[in-house]
Amino acid sequence: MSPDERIARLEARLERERATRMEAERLAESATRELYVTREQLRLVSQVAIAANESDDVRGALVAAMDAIRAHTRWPAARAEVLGADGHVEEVVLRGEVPADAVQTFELVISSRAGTPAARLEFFAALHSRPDGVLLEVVGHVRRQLERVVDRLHAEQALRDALAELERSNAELESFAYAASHDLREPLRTIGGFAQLLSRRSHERLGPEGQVFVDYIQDGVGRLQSIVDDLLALSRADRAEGRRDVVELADVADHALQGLRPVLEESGAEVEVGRLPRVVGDAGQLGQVLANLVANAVKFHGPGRPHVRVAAERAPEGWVVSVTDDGPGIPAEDRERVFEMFHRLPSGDAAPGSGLGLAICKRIVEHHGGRIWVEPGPGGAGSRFCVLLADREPVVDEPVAAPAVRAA
Amino acid sequence: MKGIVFNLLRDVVEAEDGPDAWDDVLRRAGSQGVHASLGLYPDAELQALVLAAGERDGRGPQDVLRWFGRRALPVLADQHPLFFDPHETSRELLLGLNDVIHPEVRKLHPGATPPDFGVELAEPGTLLLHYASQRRMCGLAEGFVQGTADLYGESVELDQPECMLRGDERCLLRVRFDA
Repeated sequence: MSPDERIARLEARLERERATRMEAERLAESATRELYVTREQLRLVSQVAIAANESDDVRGALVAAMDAIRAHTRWPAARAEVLGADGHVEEVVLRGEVPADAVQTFELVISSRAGTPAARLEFFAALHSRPDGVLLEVVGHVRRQLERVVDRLHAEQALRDALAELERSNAELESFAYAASHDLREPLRTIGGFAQLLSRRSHERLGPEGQVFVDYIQDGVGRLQSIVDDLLALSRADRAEGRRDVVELADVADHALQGLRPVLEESGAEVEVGRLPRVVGDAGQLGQVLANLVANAVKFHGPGRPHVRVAAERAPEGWVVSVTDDGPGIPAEDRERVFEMFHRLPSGDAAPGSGLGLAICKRIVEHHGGRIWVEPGPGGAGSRFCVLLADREPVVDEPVAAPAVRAA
Repeated sequence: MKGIVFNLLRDVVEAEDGPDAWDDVLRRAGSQGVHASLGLYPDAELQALVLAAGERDGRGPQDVLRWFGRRALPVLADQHPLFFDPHETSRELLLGLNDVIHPEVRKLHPGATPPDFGVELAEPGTLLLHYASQRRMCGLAEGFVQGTADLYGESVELDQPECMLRGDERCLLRVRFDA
């Protein structure tokens, strides 16, 4: 090869290398630009998703979306209309300033799952700024995110409305129950009173058969009065705010047992009371709980004298106060239902009561922020009713000794 | 075809016969020879270069492709060790072609369209690679397989019980290891 040919070849290779380098640089620039654009689009979608999901209302989500899109596109202004269920404009939100020569770049309609428009967004730009296909696709993603946010917010609002309606309805029912039970007492007293008079003063004129009828009347009135009294107690448990004092549960138990003295004496029950703590609560209501549980325990007893044990033990969440009997126990399938209103156990049909005692206990305990449940007694015999009194305020002190055993 | 393949062919030809040989190939193929690795260039241009490379010493295109693949593989391994270092045998690497290597190729070279190989385990010590591509560059695939075996210090036997160039619907590369 001649020198000239050699030089020509070398020059040709040099030129190829130069052209290849320029081509490589062009490709690198193009790739970098594409990467930047993709990254910015992803950032936009991500920003809108995060801000919209954290928004508590549609307006907040729209503002987040409008600001993010404006920052990405440099469009000077955006306008949003928040629409009500019937399509009317509830609110208009403006972001940025619309320049005098601006045109509407495009409109975005955000619809709820039902298909009704929930919001309308307009973006304004200078005449020469038109969205390209890629940007429209990204904004489409933003629209879908906003629609999910709208659906979520609508669902949350519907839930709030339903809860408010439920609370209102419950409040009305409670008021009704209270008023009705209160108003029923007087007529019942009248019927019971006159039935008693009839029995005492017209005993001979009634005859044996008539006396039986009067006894039925008095018995029925007694049961009705018991139900009405318990309904009233249940209503009061719902309505009363309840005091929050430091209460010696030992004193509460003592007072409750005093009130049950006739029942305890009649049944010959032995009630053993262990060390009981101080708790925070309403002494009267907690006394009612203990009285109901002890009365039930005496009612549902095993062979021989009823034996009842009241005790307390520490739990991570507070104190568990328990009332244990030696009765027939409660089948597993009934252990939740016993706390429902008017639920009576098969063995309880023969025992007097309204079927509301445990429902009243549950209401009071829940108002104290606690929990009540029943489990089998020691060794699987009898029942152990447990009341967890939660530590909403610090428990003040260790258990205080109470009278150890109270025998009738 | 991505520019990297053109550059590999250049590297292999120049390593074998010097820069003047590559000039000659370019001239015969009528190619400007400007190929950036990330660029995308017509398949026909590569075919012309392969043909031109074969004409220099009377080899047919498939023979050139086999030779090219075998010689190019070590260059590839040198430039992209990440594809090769995780594997200890050529069999392992071939098993990971579709799921590991080609996806990474697409990340590095967006727009690349490496073929999808069906990998089938045959009798012990044998792999079957199904290849079906409009490019019909089964020779290059053979060369790469041979080059891979060279890289791992192994000896393989290759044949094609089926081949599109013989009118079959696909190419079937049978690779026997430790031949």
